[in-house]
Amino acid sequence: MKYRILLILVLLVLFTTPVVAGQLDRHTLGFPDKAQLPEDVNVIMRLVIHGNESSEYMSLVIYPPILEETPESLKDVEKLINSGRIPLSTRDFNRLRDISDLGVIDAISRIENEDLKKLLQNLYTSNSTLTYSEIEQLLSYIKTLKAQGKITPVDEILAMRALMELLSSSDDVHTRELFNNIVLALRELESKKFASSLVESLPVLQLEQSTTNISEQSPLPRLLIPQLGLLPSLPHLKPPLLITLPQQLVLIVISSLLAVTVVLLLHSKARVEFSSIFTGILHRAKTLLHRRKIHLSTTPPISGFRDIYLDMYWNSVNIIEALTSIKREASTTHREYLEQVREKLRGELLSTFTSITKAYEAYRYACSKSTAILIAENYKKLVSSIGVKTNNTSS
Amino acid sequence: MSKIFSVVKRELIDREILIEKDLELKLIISAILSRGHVLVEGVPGVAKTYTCKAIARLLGLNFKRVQMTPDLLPSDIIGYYVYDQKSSAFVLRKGPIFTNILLVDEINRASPRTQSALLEAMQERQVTIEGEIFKLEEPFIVIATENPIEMEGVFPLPEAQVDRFLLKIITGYTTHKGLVKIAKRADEIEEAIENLKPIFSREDVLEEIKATRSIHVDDSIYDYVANIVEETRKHSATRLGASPRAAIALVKVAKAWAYCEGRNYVIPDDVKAIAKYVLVHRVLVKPELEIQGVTSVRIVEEVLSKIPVPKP
Repeated sequence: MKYRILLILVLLVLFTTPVVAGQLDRHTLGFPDKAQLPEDVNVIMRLVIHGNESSEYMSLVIYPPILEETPESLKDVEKLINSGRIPLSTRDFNRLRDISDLGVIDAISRIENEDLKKLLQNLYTSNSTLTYSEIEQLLSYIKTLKAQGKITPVDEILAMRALMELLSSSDDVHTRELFNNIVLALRELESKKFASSLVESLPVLQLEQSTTNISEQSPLPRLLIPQLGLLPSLPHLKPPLLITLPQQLVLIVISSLLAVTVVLLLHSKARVEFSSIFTGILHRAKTLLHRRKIHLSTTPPISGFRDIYLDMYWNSVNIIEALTSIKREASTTHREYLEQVREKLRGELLSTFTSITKAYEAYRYACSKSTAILIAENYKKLVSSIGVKTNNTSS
Repeated sequence: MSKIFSVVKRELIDREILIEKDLELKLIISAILSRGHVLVEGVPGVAKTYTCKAIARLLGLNFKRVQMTPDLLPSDIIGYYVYDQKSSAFVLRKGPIFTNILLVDEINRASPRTQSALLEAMQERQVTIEGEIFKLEEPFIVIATENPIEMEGVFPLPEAQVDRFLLKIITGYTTHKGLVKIAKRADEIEEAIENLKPIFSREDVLEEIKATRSIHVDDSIYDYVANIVEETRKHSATRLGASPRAAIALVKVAKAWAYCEGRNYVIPDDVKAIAKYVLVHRVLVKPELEIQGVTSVRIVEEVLSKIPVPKP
């Protein structure tokens, strides 16, 4: 017994030492104590891009452009090009002019990539209708050239236009695909406009393009982040739960526990009394724990049951499960479960649960409505005997 | 509660005429109440004949016993016409099958032809002699025994014919305490069985059979039975699962079991209690697993532990 008490004492000391020590501030000087996370990414953007806080810029960042209306025909494409919404140099604009009425020879002649140009010319001079596999191979070849950066979107549009003319009039599928490729190329051109406008708005990059004196430019953004406390701090070494305990309270608890321990060591009578009090507290805690368990376990299964009396039986099973810690298997019959828990239940509790089980069987399998009262009475008795409050008690 | 069961139990078990045969007795009474036949597997000398004889006497039913041999002919069981010189006509000599309880000892010793004749009579509850049909008197119950030890000179019952037995009871030796009791009271027991007087009549038995039919079975119990039967077919160790006849048998015996228990409704416990005896001879194990020691009893037990009982 003495050794146990000494062990408890040692454990107490070991437990409380870090608590008291945890009150000391352990963070390294010069570093922020608490981390402050940015609320919005835009805030960082604003801080990095120094001075540029215009609403136009921010809207550009947040809402990237898309083609407002998707062209449905070559006429629409032509209108879009002529409207100037697609950013094109004068040269490219001239190359794409009158695209809807463009013939094969004109389209091919406007292509800048020589390989693609020769290939399309050969196809045209062979004067034969393109087969399905040939079109597939051509499209694949154009995609490869594009991926390698050998052709521009304008070249791609012109190639597609030439192919549209070379296709047989009945091949609607490929005509649609070629037209879609033209639209995609237009989107690509438009996204380039967005990218270039974004680059232009960046002051640092503006600096490289600017013709004015470097000294007149706005200075590079200052590193404000550490000053604003945006960097995360070092991890705290204090135990998260214990740091909230005031130091004085911890000392009071420790000293009282020490006093009790000393008394227990010295006085056997006090030890007996303390033991009974401690057992009482444990018992009470156990009861409370059971109540909580039962309350939690009885609530969910109620929904979906056929009627209140069947609920009562299954609730009582839940209660008995919580009390005895014997879980009822799905394949276990009602009587088998009763037999399983028989040894752990005593006196009135056992007789009550037995009555509920038998009444349930009669009610459930013989449709004996008279036994419903028996279920209800015994269920109430069971509930009151263990002091559990459930939703069904009142009914 | 079944009067027959309570009285027979009181007379035979409580008075210790049959020792440690409570379960066998209850199963045989359940089979009688369900109008089914019983196959008893057990080594010689475990009171198979005594049990049947004692039950038959108490119930006031006719009891006959046939010892099967390989040279036994179907006519030896069913009966035959003989020429009567006095009347100058053929007279029917009825076989032992014309009784209420027929104990067929060592059924697997009879030739397949004789077995078939007997099993046909069990199923149809009638026999045909020289083209003439004779209805067998109700109740008609065959209690057949087979010896699991002897393998030579026997003709194992085909699967289809075994299926016709409502129950298969595997009976074994008594405990040491029971054995001591038997040894002490051997003469007394023999005398008591011989002196048993009928307590019931054939009509009483028929009345109870009728009452058994009216036992209530909830839909969820039918569902439970179907699940069990289906699961025997799905089991990985099964070569042949239980048939629809097995499902019928399960319900019938469960009803009788509930009646013996004093209830007018069936609960899952009734099904579980009798499932082993109803299914064990109907479920066949794969040969390769049988060698490893897997038995049909184990399969049935696994199935029962897997199938959830009706809820709520």
